[in-house]
Formats: sequence, C-alpha cells, structure tokens
Amino acid sequence: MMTLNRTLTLPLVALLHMICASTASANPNHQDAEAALAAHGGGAAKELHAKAASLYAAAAQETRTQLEAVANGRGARLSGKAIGQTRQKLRQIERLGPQLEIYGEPAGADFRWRFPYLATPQWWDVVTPFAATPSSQNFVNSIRLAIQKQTPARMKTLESIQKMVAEQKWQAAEDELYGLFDRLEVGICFLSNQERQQIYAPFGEVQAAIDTAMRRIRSQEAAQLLGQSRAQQTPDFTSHITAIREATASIATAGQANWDGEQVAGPQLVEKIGVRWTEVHVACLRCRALDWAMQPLFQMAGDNATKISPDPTSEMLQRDYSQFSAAVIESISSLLRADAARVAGDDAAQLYVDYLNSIAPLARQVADGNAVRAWDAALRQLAAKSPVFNDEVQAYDEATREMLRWRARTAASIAQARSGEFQTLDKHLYEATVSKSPFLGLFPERPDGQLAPRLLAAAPAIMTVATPRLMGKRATAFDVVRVSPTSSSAIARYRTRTYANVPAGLDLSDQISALKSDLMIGAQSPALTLATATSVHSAQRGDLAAVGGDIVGHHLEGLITRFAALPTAASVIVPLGILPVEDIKQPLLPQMLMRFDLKPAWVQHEHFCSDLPAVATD
Amino acid sequence: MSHVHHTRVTILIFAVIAAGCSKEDLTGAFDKAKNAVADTSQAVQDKMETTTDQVQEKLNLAGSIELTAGEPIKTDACYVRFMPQGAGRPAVLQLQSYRDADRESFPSVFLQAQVQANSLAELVGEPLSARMFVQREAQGPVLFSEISTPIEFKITSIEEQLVSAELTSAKLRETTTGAKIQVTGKLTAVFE
Repeated sequence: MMTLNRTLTLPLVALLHMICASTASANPNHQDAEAALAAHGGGAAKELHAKAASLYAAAAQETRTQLEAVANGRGARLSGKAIGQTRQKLRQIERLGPQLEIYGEPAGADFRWRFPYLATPQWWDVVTPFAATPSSQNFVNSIRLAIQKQTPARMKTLESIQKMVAEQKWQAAEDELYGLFDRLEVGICFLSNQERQQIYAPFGEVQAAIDTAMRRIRSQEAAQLLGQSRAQQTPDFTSHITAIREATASIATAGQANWDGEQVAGPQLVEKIGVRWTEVHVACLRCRALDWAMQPLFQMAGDNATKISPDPTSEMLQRDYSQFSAAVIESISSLLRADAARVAGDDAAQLYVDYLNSIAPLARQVADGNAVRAWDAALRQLAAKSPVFNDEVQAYDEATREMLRWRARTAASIAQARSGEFQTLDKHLYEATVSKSPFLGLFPERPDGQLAPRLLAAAPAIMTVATPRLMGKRATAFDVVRVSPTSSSAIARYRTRTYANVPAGLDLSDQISALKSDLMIGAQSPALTLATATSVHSAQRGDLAAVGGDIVGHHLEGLITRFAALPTAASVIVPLGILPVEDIKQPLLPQMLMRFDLKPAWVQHEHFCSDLPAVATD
Repeated sequence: MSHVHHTRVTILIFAVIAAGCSKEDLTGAFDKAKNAVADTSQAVQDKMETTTDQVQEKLNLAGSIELTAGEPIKTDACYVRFMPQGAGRPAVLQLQSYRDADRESFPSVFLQAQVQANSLAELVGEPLSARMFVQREAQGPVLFSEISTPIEFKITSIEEQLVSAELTSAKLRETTTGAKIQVTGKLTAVFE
C-alpha cells in the first residue's frame, strides 16, 4: 500500500485537472472535456444516454472529491459508503456503454473508455488504500458480516431470477440481477477479488443467459428503431422528381407553376427547387449516418441485414441521390430552355437577370461543376432570344472574364502566402491528438491502416491533452459558407474529419465595392453572367474560399451523431449532390471528427483576399 | 485544310472497300471517317492558330510589352481590345500579353481600364487609370494594382494596327511579400 501511496501523486494531480464538474454542454469541448458525446437517437437510446451521462457527471464529481481528499492526506477519513456508491455508479456506466453501442451511439464507445478512465484511479488511489487503512477495518469487517448474513436472502433472489430466466422474463430478470449487484457493489468493492468472486459465482449462469438474451432483445429493438428512422428519413426521390418535372412543364406552357399551393414563375421555381434539394440532401446525410449507426447490427445479422434495412451499404441511397441530383440539375436547365422558348425581346432580358439572381445562390452550393456549366449554357440560350441583349451579355462576358481570372489568381497567391503560418485543421487535429506513449489519442502512434481519427481512449483524456495544443493556434479552414443569408455564423465545410464555425457578417464592404467596381455592377447595371453574379452574391453573403485565424474553441463529435442528427439549417456542411464516404469495413462507432471555432484574421474569397481588422470579429 | 480533310476521308473509305464491306458498313465507315476528320479539324485549327501566333510573335508582329518592375519583364505579344458595353456601363479597354487564357504564356501581363469613350481613337493622349496584373512565371507571385491606387497610362499612338501605350505612374503590390514595386514601361499592342 505504501508503494501505491508514493506513486499516486503525479497521475492524481493530472487527473484532478482532467475531471471537470460540468457535463451540461453536449460533446467534449475546450471548456468542458468531461461532457458526454451527444446522442442522435430517441426512445431507449435517449434514455440510456441521459442515464449514463448523469451517472458519469456524478461519478466524475465524486471521484474528483475523493482524489482531492487522498492528495491532501485525508483519504482515510473518507466515507466508505460514499466511496462504494461512486463505485456503484461506475459499474452502471460500464454496463450502459455497450448498451448504447447497440443503438448505434458513438457515446457508448466513449463510455466504455470512460469506465477505466475513472474507475482505475478510483480503485488504486481511493478504494484499495481505504480498505487497507487500519481505521477502516471495522467498516470492512462489518461488510463481510453483512454479506455473510445476507447469503440466504441472496440465494432466494437467485432462485427468483432463475425462475424469471426459465420463463424468459428477461427484462425483469436483468433488473433484479443488476439491482442486486449494484447494491452489493457499494460494500463488496472493499473486499478482495477472491471474496468478490465467491459472492458472484452462483450468479454466473443466469448472468450469462440474461446478458445474451438482453443483448438480443436490445439489438432487435435497436434494429427496429434505427430501421424505422432510416425508412422515415429516406426521401421519396420519385415523387420529388415528378413534382419538379411537372412544375417545369407548367412553366413551359403557362410561364407559371403551382408549387405547394403557390403560383410561381421560373426564377422563383429555381429557388423552390433549391429548397427541396436541400431538404433531400439533409435527409440523405442522415440516412447515410444511420446506415453507419446500424453497422454492428448489420454485421450481426449477416445475410439477413436487409431485413433490418433494405440498403445496408447505402448503395441504393448513393445511386438514388446521384440520380436525383442529376435530374434536378437537368430540370433547372430544362426550365431555362422552356422559358427561353416562351419569351423574346425585353421579356427575355428581364427573365435572364431574374434567373441569374436565383441561380447564383444555388451555384455556390452545388458540388458538381458541370451543373454550373450546364446552367450557364442554358442561360445563354435565354439571352439569345433578344439579339441586342445577347450582344450586351457577350460584351460584358468578354470584359469581365479575364478580370475574374486574374482576381482569382491574385487572391489564391495572397492566401497561399498567408497559409504558410496557418496550418490546415486536419493537420492541427493530427498533431494535437496523435498517440505518443503513454498518451492515447485519436490516431495510433504507429499508423495501422486506419487513417481517420477514432477513440483510442476516453474522450476527456484526449481532450485534456489536445486542448492546450490547439487553443490559440493559427489555422486555415476552407470552403466557408454562411448558414443562411442572415445567420451570424458560417461553416467551413466538412473535410478530412474536420469542420469549423466561423463568425459571419464580417465587414467585407470595401472588397465588395471594389469587386463590383471591377465588374461594373451597380444599381442600374446588374451582373450579366453567372460567373460575375455568383462572385458578387457569394461575397455579399459572406461565402469564402478560405479563412485563416486563431483556434478559439474545439468540440469532439461522433462522426455518426454529427450527420444522423444534422439540423436542416446546417445542410451547407456538405455541398449539394454528394454524401460523405467512410470505410465501412472499419468499426464506425468510435470514429470521431473535430469541430473548430475560428476567429478569422484574414479571408479569401474566390476573387479577393483581405486582412480583417482585429475588432471586426470581436 | 480542305485538301487534307478530303485525303483522309478518301484513305479511310478505300481501306473499308478493300476489306470487302456491305453498303451499311460503308455508310457507317463514312460517318466514322467524317467524325474523325471533324475531331481532327478542331485540333488542327487550334494548332494552326497557335502556330500562327508563335510565328507572329517571332516576327514581332504580335506586339510586345517591355516593363521594368525591379527587373525587366518582356513579352513577345500584346493584344488590345476595345469593348463598348451596354446598360450605361463604361467601355472597357484591355491589353494583355496573350491572345486568350488557353494560350497564356509567362511572363503574363493584363491591364484593364474602364473608359468613357466610343472608340479607342478618342483616348489617344488622354490620361487613363487601369487595373494591372503581372505574373513573371506560372505559380509565381502576382504583381497587382490595388483598386484604390490604379496605375496611370496613356495611349501614345495608333498607327498601322499598332497601339502604343506608356505607363505614366504605376505602383504594384506583390502578393507574397506585400511589397510595393514601381513599374515603368511601354506596351505595343495589335488588335485581336
């Protein structure tokens, strides 16, 4: 025991710093490393998660208090009952982690790690020394006595559980068995391993049967819940496409279409189609994540995986969404052609400008560069319906094309020079969380074939090391899109398991004025090409090619949870038309990503690059 | 060009006949041959234009740019365009060291001025402001004029399809260092 007491000081102090009291905010972050990973599921998963998170918060707080007492030489004066109750909570967390995993919750994988993270120091630095203290001997002996006296009652409970097992009343049997174990744990945690084994041994057979049955039952329930959720989220691609095509046909004949009870012209229909595409996009992202969440269930089901969900590898989802996206892109081109066939002269010119204003916002959201080229070609057909206007568009295109190209080249060159001091987010993530003995992080010390970050230890242990390595570091984030035209935040899109929150509404007015001046755009002289309209629109919206700044926050998130619970407002995290890809041969529950908060120092729009005054982001 | 096309079609058709084909085969082969020639035609045209540009540049018939920006910058070509705009916009005067983006070589120079004029001739001798970009080598830093400090230049003459211009005041910023560099020089451009 003396040896133990001598060696506890350093890790104990470190652990005391690690264990923070609050777990209120979702996901472990720079302010609260102890926060639980968020859950995506409802029903039983939500309840399990809430229970595990609450138990962990309490156990972490209690463990911290106990470790502090030991560090201050007051370990022997701790309450044996309080220590035992903490032990009881830790045992419950140990059981809840794997249960959460069945429901496809990454938090479950983390709770698995969190049990040894808390329980090991508590065992060696609190429980074991306390049990060995002379002043605790009466307490420990009273436990032995009580356990001895309760043997007949325990055997009666065992008989009752055996009866439930025989009748396959599994839930009741589990409640009874682990209720007993939890009550026992409060006291027998101070006994020797041999004594504990003797107490538990008679229950071995029923425990194995109950665990197996409950795992099966929970798996069935999880399969039903997740399968239902997947079915509910799966978009009805055919009806969406039919609606879009019917509306397009109506524009061709009448110049107006009925969309959800509203009469709209072609340019408004483009906006409506964009909204519908966004809804489908978010649903597809959630579906993909749900397929990842069901990975253990699919693996367990083997050839019967399709009974849980008809598309376990997301192949159909991927195919249908690709076809849907292609159909939407083509529908917008068709819409333009249909209107082009309908109008002429000044009407064509006005319609062209209206279409530019409705397509420019969408052009920035779409992953497929061919879409923009196809729409541009269709827009030219519309402009051609008015020869005079068409000449004007041609002259404007010729006068702005090279200016945009040189602006882009210049902006990229300035940003490249800047980014030397501003490392990419994925590089920061790797350097802050790569394992180096004894630290275990999100990447193994020696590469093992899996390149992506995943839990190799408890999230709080990882975050405690990562936070000082990340905070205040200079970073570059790419492809920044404002959440909505009026939102106060923008998202640097998801790539290589990172994304970032960036404040929106940065003052780019001088740069926007300069851009408009170069492109000869004013109140009475609108942009006349898709390239110029997209450039000005994205600048005004605050959509940027890259941002460089200080890391002022970071949040560890489960890959599955991020996308399974993605709010519609955050749809911009992945461009329209594509879905994130993962290696489904690897275990997906422990896969992590990091959300960063950036305070920008400079921004790169596609056509300008600008330093920001320090006050602009305060 | 036309002679080359006919020769190639003829060779392809003879080759098919020699192999002993049906009428349908022959029709298909003829279409194929026409397509092959059409594909080749665009490539040949592109090649011809590039070659013509290169020859003109060698013979100093494509204009030139001679600048001093710390070190001298010289190009063997300079093309000028005057582009009137509609909708109350100014006209655009553009001088660049390459015919189009696909045929850009380095050093590369681009200068654009928004002007109130109906023709290039009206601008001779007038003080003009412009945006200017210079890149000595591909992937290298860019020298550029900021919008708040445009370069000043003058069209000094238009003679026999050659437009001469001279920088009167030009300070360009370098993208990697941020340094401001004084630039002087002349541009002699041909019409595109």
